Amino acid sequence: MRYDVRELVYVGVFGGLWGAIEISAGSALHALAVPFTGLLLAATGLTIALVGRLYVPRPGSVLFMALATAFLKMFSVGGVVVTPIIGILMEGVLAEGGLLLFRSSRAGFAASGAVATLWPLVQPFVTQGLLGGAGVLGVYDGVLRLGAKLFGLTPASGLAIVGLLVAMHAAAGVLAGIMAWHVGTALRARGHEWTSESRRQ
Amino acid sequence: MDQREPPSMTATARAMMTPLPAVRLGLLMWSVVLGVVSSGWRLGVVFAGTLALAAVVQPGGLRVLRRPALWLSLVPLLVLPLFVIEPRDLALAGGLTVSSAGVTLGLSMLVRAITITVAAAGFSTTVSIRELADVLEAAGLRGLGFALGVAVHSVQQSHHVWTTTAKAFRLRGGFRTTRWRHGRLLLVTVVSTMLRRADETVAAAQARAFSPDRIRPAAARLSTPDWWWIAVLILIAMVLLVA
Repeated sequence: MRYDVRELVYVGVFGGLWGAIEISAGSALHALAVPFTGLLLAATGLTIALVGRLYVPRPGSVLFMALATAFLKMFSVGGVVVTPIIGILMEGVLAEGGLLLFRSSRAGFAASGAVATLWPLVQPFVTQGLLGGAGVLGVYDGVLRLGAKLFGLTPASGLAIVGLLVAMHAAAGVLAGIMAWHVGTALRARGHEWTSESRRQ
Repeated sequence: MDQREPPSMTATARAMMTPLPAVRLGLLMWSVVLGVVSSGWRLGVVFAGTLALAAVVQPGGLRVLRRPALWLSLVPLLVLPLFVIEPRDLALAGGLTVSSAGVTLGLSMLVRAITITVAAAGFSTTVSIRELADVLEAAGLRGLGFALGVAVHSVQQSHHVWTTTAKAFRLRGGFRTTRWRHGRLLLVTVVSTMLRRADETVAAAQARAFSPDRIRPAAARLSTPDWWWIAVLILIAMVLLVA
């Protein structure tokens, strides 16, 4: 698939916007060990990438932006952090998959956001559990303890905690998707027309 | 007798020390993939191999080990399994008991994390973003190099626009009550500013008759030393996977 100059510039600009958040706020939030930093960054980054999708309406463009962001993060001064790079790329893949299934619409953006923001919940199982060797059950135990503390439940009510965590992550994604659609609408009202299929061809 | 190395030998040695970016990407993948799938003595071999590679061809990878922040972030990997995994069969001073299986697991997690970190840091300090873009362009991701260049230039601008706009909002009483609406307005302002700048970049590129179709990634032919690297890495990987 070939992108034209305008689309490549937009991919770079939206990748840069997402990258700026990841490099500055992301590094600070990780350093301060703020809970749910991954979810916060995923929701913000996906909002930007989904707005970008309105200006580069091609399958794969969100993934392209995620790729640009991941490279910016990789070469940032803060040092190499492998897990955020995995997170950014996986969020791009999931959002792209969501858009493929649900199309570019307000509902589609909300659904894609919901799918992609589930990744920060899954990521510890992959990075610590499988890659790190901590074991999936060990990570599950940690997630349950965190969830129990957050919702005021006991770790014994495992399923309820998992359900609430999934709902919380999905809700953040839905908000990110709706926010992206609203921002896109406001941008169009300001004269930044969305790129339509007809204009692109 | 002349004690100097033959000129061809020196050139080969120099070429061995400076593999192409594509080969460096291979070195990174080698460390990450084998670091993840290996355990026990195999993980030790990958760890030693990664450190040796870093010492020989990408010293930036070892410099990352001097950062206290890295060690601080690795401490939980080592300590948590000691107390989480049952049974706690090792008695320490002061009546403290830890798990012997936790010691093994913690150490392997630590070694794995250092392996991946050293490999990634070595890669990012020796390969520029331009070189990486060339590798990806050569791999068929057309235009990614140009988009990455734009991203690198716009990240500073983006940061500036984010901070100045947020400051302006706060000075005008923003984010105190209707956070959702003000958050949206902030994003609209930032993206609108960046889109205007993007249009300027597009105009400048078009004025220079730039076209993604004309991008030719820098020619990068693998030399004999590069093939040596590839052969050695594949051989070690096969030995580790089969043994």
